[in-house]
Amino acid sequence: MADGREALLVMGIGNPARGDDAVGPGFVDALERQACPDLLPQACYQLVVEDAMTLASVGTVVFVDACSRLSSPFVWAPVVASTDPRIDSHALAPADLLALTSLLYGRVPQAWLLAIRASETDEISEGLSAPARRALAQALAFFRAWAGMAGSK
Amino acid sequence: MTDSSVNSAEFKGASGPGRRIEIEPLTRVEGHGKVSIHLNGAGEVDEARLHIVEFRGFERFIQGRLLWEVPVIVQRLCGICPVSHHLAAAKAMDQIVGVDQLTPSAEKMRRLMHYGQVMQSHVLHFFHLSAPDLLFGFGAPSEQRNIFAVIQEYPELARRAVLLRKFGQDIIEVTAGKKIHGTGAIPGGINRHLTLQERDRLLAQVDELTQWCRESVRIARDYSEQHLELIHRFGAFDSNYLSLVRDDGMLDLYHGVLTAKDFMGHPLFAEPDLARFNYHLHEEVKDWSYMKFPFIASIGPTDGWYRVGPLARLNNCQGLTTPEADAALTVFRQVLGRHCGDSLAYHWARMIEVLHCMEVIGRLLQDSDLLAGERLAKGERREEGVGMIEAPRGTLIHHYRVDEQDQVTFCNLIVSTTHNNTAMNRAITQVAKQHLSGKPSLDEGLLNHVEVAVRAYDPCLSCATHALGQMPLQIELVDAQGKCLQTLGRSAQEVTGG
Repeated sequence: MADGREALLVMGIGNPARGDDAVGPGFVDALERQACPDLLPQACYQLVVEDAMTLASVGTVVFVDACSRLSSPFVWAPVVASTDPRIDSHALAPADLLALTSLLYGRVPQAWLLAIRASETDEISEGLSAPARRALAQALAFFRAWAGMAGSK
Repeated sequence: MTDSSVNSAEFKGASGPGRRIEIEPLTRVEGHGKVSIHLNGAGEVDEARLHIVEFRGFERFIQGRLLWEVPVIVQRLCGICPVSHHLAAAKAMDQIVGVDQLTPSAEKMRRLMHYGQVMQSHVLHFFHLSAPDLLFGFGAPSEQRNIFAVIQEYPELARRAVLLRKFGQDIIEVTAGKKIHGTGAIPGGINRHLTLQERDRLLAQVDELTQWCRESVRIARDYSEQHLELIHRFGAFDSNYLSLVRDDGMLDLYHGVLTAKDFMGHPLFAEPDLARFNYHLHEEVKDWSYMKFPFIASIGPTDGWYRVGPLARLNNCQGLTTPEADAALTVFRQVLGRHCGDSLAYHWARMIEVLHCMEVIGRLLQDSDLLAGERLAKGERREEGVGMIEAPRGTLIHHYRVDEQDQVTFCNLIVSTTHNNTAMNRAITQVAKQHLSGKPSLDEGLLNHVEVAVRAYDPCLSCATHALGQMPLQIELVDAQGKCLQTLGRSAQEVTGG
C-alpha cells in the first residue's frame, strides 16, 4: 500500500465462541480469503485503546459487529466521533474510539458501521445460526459492491 | 456502558425498616457487576455485597475437544487476558504430554509472551481505568472522572500509555503468531521463534519504553506518598495472600511454587506440586452471588480467604529479579510496610510489575534462544494436567483430564478474580461504612468511592461477548421478602451508527 491513509481498515468485532457474535470475525475471514491490496481486514474481540493508533493511520474504517436488535439483515451507517465519550471498560464503542483517536492524534478516518443481524450471542457455541449466515452473506455482497470488489467471492 | 445507575428502595428487613442502595453496572471494570449496599433503619451501612453473574459453562464447552486445540480455544473465554488462558492451558497440556521441562527456546518465548501481556494489561488499568480517580479525586464530577479528561490534562502521558499497550500487543503478536487466537504455545513447547527482524524491532524500543515505565512507577509512588492517610484507611485490612513464587523466593509470573502466607508473612503452605492445588484450596458457595468464594482449606472458610494479584505477589516474594523494579519494591516496602494490606496499594504494586516486566522483556530480547533452538520436548503421556500462571489479576488455574483418544473429559478453571471475591466484598463494606453511613443524601461521586475499592483489584467479570443493541444492564429492586419491587433497564438504541 503506497499510503496508509488511503487504506480501508475493516474491523470485525466479536467472540467466535459465542454463537452469532462471530459474524464480525466471520466477515473478516471471508475478506481475508481474497487478496485486495488496499484492504486491511482485522478481527478482534473488542475495540481497545491502542486501536486508535491504527485508525489514525488509515483513510477509512468499517466496524463490523453483531447486532441482536435489527429488523433487516444488516444496517450500514456512518459513525462520527462521540461528543460525550466514555471509556468505562477495556472495550470501547466505535464512536468513543474515534473520539479517542481524534484527541490523541488530531485526525480521524472516515468511519462506517456495518451491523449484522444476530440472534444467538449469549450461549457458548461455535458456528453461526442459519439466519446469521444469510445476513452475513448479504452484508458481504453489499460491502464488496461498496468497496468496488464486485465480482469477488 | 454509561455512568452507573443509582437506585434505592425502602424495605423492611428483619431488624426493622431499612434501605438498600444498588449500583449497577460497575464502571471501569471488566464485565458487569452490581453492588448492593444494605442500610439499617438508622442509615448506617450494615453490609455491602458485590454480585457477579459469572461466566459459566465454558468447562463443558471444552469437554470432548482434542488436547492440541485446547490452548487456542480457551482464549475465547476472555477478551481481556486471552494470553493468560492460552499459556495456562498450554502448561496443563505440557503435563498431559509428559513434559515437565520445556526447551530453553520454548520457555523463553512463552515468558516473553506472558510478560508482554502482563505489562500491557497493567498499563491499561492504571492509565485508562484508574487514572481518572487518582488524578481528579474519587468524588470529582463524573464528567471529569474519565480518560478523556486525563488526555486533555496530560496528553503526552496518555500517548505513552497507548504506545506501551501497543508494544505489549506487538510482543503477543510475534510470540503467539497472531494478535488474537494465537497458536504460539502448544503442548510440549512452541511452534515458532522470533525472526531477527521481529526481535530487532522490539529491542529498538526497549530503552525508551523502560524510561516511561520508570516514570510510571514514580507517578504511582508520588500518588501513594501524597495520599498515605487515605491509602491506609480506604479498603485497608489484613488478609492472607496467594501467589506463585520462584523456588528461591523471588517473584516469577510464569511458574513457581504455589505459596500462601498470612498477613505477617508467615507461611501457610508452599506447594511445589501444582497438581495438588485442590488439596490446599477449597471453594464456598453463597446464595447471593454466582461467583464462588475460595479459601485455604487448612484454615476454613471464615478466616481462610486470601488475596491474589500484584499486591499479593509483592507481599509473598522476597524480591524481584530485575534491579530497578527490585529497588522500587524496596521503596514500596519502606513507605507502605513489608506486609501491606491496603487495597489502593495495588496500583503502585501494578506499576512496579510493569517496570519489572519491561526489564525482563529487555533481557529476553537479547537472548539468542528466542531466535533458534529446539521448540518441542517429549515425554510419557499422562491423563491429568494442571497449568498455573500468574495472570495480571492473580493466580490462574487450569485443570484437565484427557482420555486415550486425546479428548478432554474434565475441565476446571479457577480464574484470578474469583480468588479476590471475599477481599473485594470486605473492601466495599469497609468503604461503604466509612463514606456512606449516615449521609443525608447519596450522590454519584460518593458512590464512586465504592467502585474505586472494587477497581483497585482490576476485576475481570467479562465473558468476552457483546453485540450492539443488547441490553447489558438490569436493575432489580427487591424487598426483604424477596419480592421484586421494580425492574429497570437501559433502553436499547436502534443502531444508527452514531
